[in-house]
Amino acid sequence: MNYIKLTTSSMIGEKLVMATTGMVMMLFLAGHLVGNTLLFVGREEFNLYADFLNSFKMVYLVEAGLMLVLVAHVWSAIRLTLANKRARPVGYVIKRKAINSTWMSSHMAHTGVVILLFLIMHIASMKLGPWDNEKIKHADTLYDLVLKLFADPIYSGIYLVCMILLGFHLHHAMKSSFITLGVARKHRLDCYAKASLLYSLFISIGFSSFPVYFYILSII
Amino acid sequence: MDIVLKIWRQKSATDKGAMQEYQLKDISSDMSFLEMLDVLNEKLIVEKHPDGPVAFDSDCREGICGTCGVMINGRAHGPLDKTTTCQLHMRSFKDKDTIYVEPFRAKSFSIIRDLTVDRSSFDKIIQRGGYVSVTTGGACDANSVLVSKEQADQAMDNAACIGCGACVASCKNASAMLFTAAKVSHLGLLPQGQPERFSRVDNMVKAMVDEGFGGCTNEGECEAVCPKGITLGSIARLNRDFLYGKIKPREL
Ligand code: FES
Repeated sequence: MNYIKLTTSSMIGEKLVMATTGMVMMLFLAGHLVGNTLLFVGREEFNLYADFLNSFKMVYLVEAGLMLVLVAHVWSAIRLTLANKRARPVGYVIKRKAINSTWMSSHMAHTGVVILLFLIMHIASMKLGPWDNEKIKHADTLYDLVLKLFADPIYSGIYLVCMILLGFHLHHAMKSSFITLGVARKHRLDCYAKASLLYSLFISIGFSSFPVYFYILSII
Repeated sequence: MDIVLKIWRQKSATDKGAMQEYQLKDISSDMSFLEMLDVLNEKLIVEKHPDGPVAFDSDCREGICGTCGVMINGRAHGPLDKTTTCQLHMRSFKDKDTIYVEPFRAKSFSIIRDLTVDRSSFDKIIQRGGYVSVTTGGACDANSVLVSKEQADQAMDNAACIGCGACVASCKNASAMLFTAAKVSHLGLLPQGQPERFSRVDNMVKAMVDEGFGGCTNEGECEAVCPKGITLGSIARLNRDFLYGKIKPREL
């Protein structure tokens, strides 16, 4: 089992965990977004879709799997970030010039923390909601709950900001994963960067459209 | 041209160190950066300056040995792309410029004095896998081992790494991935490097961690400052060989 030991003790092994778990979550996000567009179609359709998903016995298994993936991602992220910090105990007097890196790529840990907090809020309010019975007493279906939540400008605002940060996170995440997994070839690095940009825009704009649309709907 | 230099001065590895300011007048714009430092040192010696001359590394001064290397205004090897510190000239700066000069910083690169750092961690990485096995006996005919043009070109591109450490210095995680990836690619692309191809990656990666370098976050700051133009593609190749070495069927 030397292989397992080497994989877990050598940064690259941990980075492989980051990349694969990240990829799984990126696939999930795309599916989640496509499914959620039913919110635009109507109450009936969206609730049917939610019931359909919940009717599967396997749904708990999938949820547990995703949870595990998330935990592994966060765990490796913490270990890697700490190790990376340790590698340069004394910094420079003059800040290093950023040439190829962007704000997005150098703040993955920060955006990651925000996304994690968002996920807790998201699961607590949407999946396990209604959690504030006072406010959403009349919400009986998931669609009503979503409508109610997004009518709150604070909730919608937080949601929107988090989705923009998620886009930032994904922008670097995807192309980085391709390099870590070793699929990126030198002459195609640009293609992978473009693909990540497109994907992150798709997810970020896609998920942002829900709070924007439903908030506007609630005030007109 | 007249310039103001702010240079990191540190007497020994344990000394605290600080930036010191020096004024230089009538510097020729045709001087290389290191020649400018030579002029400064001469001045410091003649003036019997209490700080003494500035210690910095250099050897070939032709951009081929990898001995020189400092942070100039927050960028490893200074403002020019694909240029070592010794090949940087004062014409890249303007009259009356203030130039900040700092040593390469990483936990694995301890400062010896002023701008000189101990880069023997790189040697330790090389010792763990930067070699190929050769058979003893009579020399075989030249070109008896066929290498495709493409492979040879790519191996050569990676062999260009001079081990200066700019990649580590400019990486936010002080990671030695670009250096290690260049060595792994250089040897792993050639038929002579095949016997140790996968064990080499494992051993060198392990050495990298043991030496206290950080992990790679694929941001590409290293390739931006690499004087030899090694790219993230090499890092992807290292990752590919690392992963493939783990999952490939074992040969009996
Ligand atoms: S002194 Fe040899 S590369 Fe600069």
